[in-house]
Amino acid sequence: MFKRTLVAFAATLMASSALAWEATPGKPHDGKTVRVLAVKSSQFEAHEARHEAFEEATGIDVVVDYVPFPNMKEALTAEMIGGGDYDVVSIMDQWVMSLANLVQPIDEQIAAQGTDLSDFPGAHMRHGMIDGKLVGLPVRGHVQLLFYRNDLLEEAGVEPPQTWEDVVTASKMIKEKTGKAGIALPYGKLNGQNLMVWVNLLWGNGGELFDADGQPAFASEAGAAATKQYIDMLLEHEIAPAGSAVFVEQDAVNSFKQGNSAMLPLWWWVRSQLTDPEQSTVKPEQLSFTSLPSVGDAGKTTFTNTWIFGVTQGSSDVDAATEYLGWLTDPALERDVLLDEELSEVVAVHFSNLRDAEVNARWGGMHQSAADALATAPGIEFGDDWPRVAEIMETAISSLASEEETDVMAALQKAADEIASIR
Amino acid sequence: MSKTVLWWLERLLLLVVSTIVLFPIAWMFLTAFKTPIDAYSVSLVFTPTLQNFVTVFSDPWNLGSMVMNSVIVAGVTVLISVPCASLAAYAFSRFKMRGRKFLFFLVLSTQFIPAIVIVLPFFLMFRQLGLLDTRIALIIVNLAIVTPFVIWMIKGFIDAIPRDSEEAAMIDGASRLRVIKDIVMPMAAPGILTSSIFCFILTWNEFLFSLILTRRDAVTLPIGLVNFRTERGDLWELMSAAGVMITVPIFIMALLIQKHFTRGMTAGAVK
Amino acid sequence: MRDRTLQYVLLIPAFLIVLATTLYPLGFSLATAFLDWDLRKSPRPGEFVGLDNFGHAVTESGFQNSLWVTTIFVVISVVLTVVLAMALALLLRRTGGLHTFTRIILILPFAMSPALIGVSYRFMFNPEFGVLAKGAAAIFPALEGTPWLANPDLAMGILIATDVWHWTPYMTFMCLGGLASVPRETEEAARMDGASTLRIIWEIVLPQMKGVIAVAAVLKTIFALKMFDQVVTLTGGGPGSSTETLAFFIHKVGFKWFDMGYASALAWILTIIMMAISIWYVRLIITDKKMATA
Repeated sequence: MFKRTLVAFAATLMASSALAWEATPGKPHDGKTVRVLAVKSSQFEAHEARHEAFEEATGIDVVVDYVPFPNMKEALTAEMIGGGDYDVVSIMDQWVMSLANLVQPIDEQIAAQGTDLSDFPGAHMRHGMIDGKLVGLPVRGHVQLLFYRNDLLEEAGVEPPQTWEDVVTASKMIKEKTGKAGIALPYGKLNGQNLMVWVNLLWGNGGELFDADGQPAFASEAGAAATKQYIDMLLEHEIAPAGSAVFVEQDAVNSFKQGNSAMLPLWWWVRSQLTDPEQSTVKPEQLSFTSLPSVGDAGKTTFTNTWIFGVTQGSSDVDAATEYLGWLTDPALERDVLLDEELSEVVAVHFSNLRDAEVNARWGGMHQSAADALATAPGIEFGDDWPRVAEIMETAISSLASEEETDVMAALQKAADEIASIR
Repeated sequence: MSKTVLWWLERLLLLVVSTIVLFPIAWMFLTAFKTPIDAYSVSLVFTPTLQNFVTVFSDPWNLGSMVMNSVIVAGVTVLISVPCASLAAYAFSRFKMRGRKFLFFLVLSTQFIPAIVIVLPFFLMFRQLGLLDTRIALIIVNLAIVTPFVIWMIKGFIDAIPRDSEEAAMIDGASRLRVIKDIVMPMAAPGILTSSIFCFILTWNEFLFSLILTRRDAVTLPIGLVNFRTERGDLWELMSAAGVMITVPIFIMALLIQKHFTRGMTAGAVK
Repeated sequence: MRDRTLQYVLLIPAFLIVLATTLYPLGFSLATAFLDWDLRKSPRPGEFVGLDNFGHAVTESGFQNSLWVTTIFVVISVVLTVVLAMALALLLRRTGGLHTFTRIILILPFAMSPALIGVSYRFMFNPEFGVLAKGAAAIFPALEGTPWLANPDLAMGILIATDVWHWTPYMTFMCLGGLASVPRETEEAARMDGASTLRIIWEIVLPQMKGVIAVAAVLKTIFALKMFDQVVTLTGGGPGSSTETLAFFIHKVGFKWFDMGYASALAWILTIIMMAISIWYVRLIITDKKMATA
């Protein structure tokens, strides 16, 4: 225990730029219990393993219940309707607006905790706000990277692609020279996963999901071009693995891990599993990454994914709950987990850690590239109907990929009409 | 067609059936012994590992803690539901009481609605009663789910039993309850056993209510199973290992019952 | 005790169990079907909107699609399951080592959790490493590269196949149980008279099994109409929306769209459909005439 405190203390000293969290003096919440509902994730379990330090400093007892990811929304919904079983909840960015009745504003309390909000990238931080009020803080956040097999690219004599056009040419060379699929992409239907690369193509083509009035704007020339570009990689150029019309994210990852594909555009956190000898045939020295390709000379983009932690409306003690949030979002805690040799947690949501020299040394500079992408990434405005909107769009992409639909513009227009009718 | 050809044809058919039944399960069992790297490849040759079983029983999955809950919930549900349902099934089968069709229909119709829209009311109700995260809540819900089906099934079996011996016994002065106990139930035994297995398995695998109504203390195995559907995707090798642990007890139970089942069948045939 | 009293007394325990627990949730969901309950706006049900939620369903293309998907799924899977189960039961009631073995392993598919079945079959049909996809291609080279789950019809076929695989074994048990409680004298007598096996099955055994078959059919119908877990883990409703069953669609409306009022209305439409089907079945089973067996 003493040793751990000491390590945490040392880590605090090293994380120079950000303000460190300190327990409210006098243990005002001594003896209270904070009940947390969190999605099952090794990162959060790493936090839980460090609760002792928090409990010692504040006298607050923390109890965490975990729910598997596919059922997290149901669990949060039950808490919103029933209320009062939990003080702190983890919510994915896409659900925040529709679960507005679950959480409450905590601007003042978080200010009292001394949390430095400017240390969070804007693309993550925006999901903790509803109508200008702070309702939660980012704890887990992802950006996309392009992972690639440097050995296969070398064998094919191609450079890591910087644009999507390069991806197609490079993939054709790879297929010719190595027989492998060029790039593993998800086209199937699951939680909007097939939109996450597609959106980048949309932006790169100069398109937008929604216009200023919140009406769908993707059924445009840019939208059609982007969609065609995405679908063509499967149907026209055949550079995606055969059968990827039903691939969800995990299938694309498996294809890459089994050595069947040479490139994989995905969240940065998959990195540690891509070279895990238990799961993957890919050796660490074969794996490289670069930022996500752009469309032509358009700027680089990335989709983001964020989990925020907020305080419930039914919480019996908001102050104790926010005290916990203060500790949980302390950059020093994040850094401690990032550098823990026994773990392989790569997730960071503080600029101070993303740019930290030691963190970057351990993870091969991945965090610096994430920081660069996050510095300009706007993030997406997820309305309270996003789950429904995403479902309509992913269905359109899925139908095009499986050739159930063949007219790109018609499919997009149909999706746009459907979305317009519910907005 | 000669008798021998038929004899062989019958065996061949059974072999095909057994293969279709067993193959996917065998593959799942094999997957449970594979490392992730082998689980997601076509290779038939792999080095078996017990690591998946170690993993599912250790932190953070802790499947072991859920076994007891599942056993108690499924066991108690069967013990309460099957006797009650048997009595009701007999009444429905043998008496032409007024409103019979309506009552029969009423009890079954409670099961028409998809669970998805009644799980929240159930949640609110048990919250009010202070029964959230208890085995009692799960037993109550499961009783409500399986009992109508069990009544329905057992009634079918009792219908198929001819009334002659019952009527004879009553003429000899046996009471109705005695007839039920000594004549009808033994004859319906194979059917009641079949229904009990049904009831047990349905409860054993019940997922949605367990998900919403439990937190930590009363969590059952199916929740443990879907825990392996993570943000990273479905961890098939771990799900399979958990699946093996969930399926094996039922298989053993079925093996034990098989004897009685056959006996019941013979009894039916000899009668 | 007189029979007149007894007949109701026998019903009491079962009715207490079922009605006491389900009345409140059922009433709640029925009431919700007539209320505006948008979870995004309020965690509590809102105002009365009459039949709006039901009216909505009539024009909703997603609902119509799921109704169609469900109809196909239910009809094919119920017919296949019941026919196969009955045939298998007739085969398995005979004695023999292989018969006993098959009877024992038959419980396995039903013991598996539907979610696990969906996941397992999805991986087994994976175009890159799926043992069934690869195996089929090895036996029939023409099947190489078949987009199993990516093709709407094939995906539906696989969904039905997994469901039949899951349920047939159990239904076989039911039919075996039914066969066991049927006396064999008539059959033996017919055999003595030299009737063919097929004729005995068709004219003597099957009529006696009418009740059990109807029970199996209604059970299977109810579960097929509520098909959910396997859709989630096997196809996710895709490709496109070609395997979105009603239960899947209702879940989507409730927990993705967050429109609980509409979800409840849809659920009650499904309930009414089931009632109609069941009334027909009940008529079939509960006749005031004595059963054909006597």
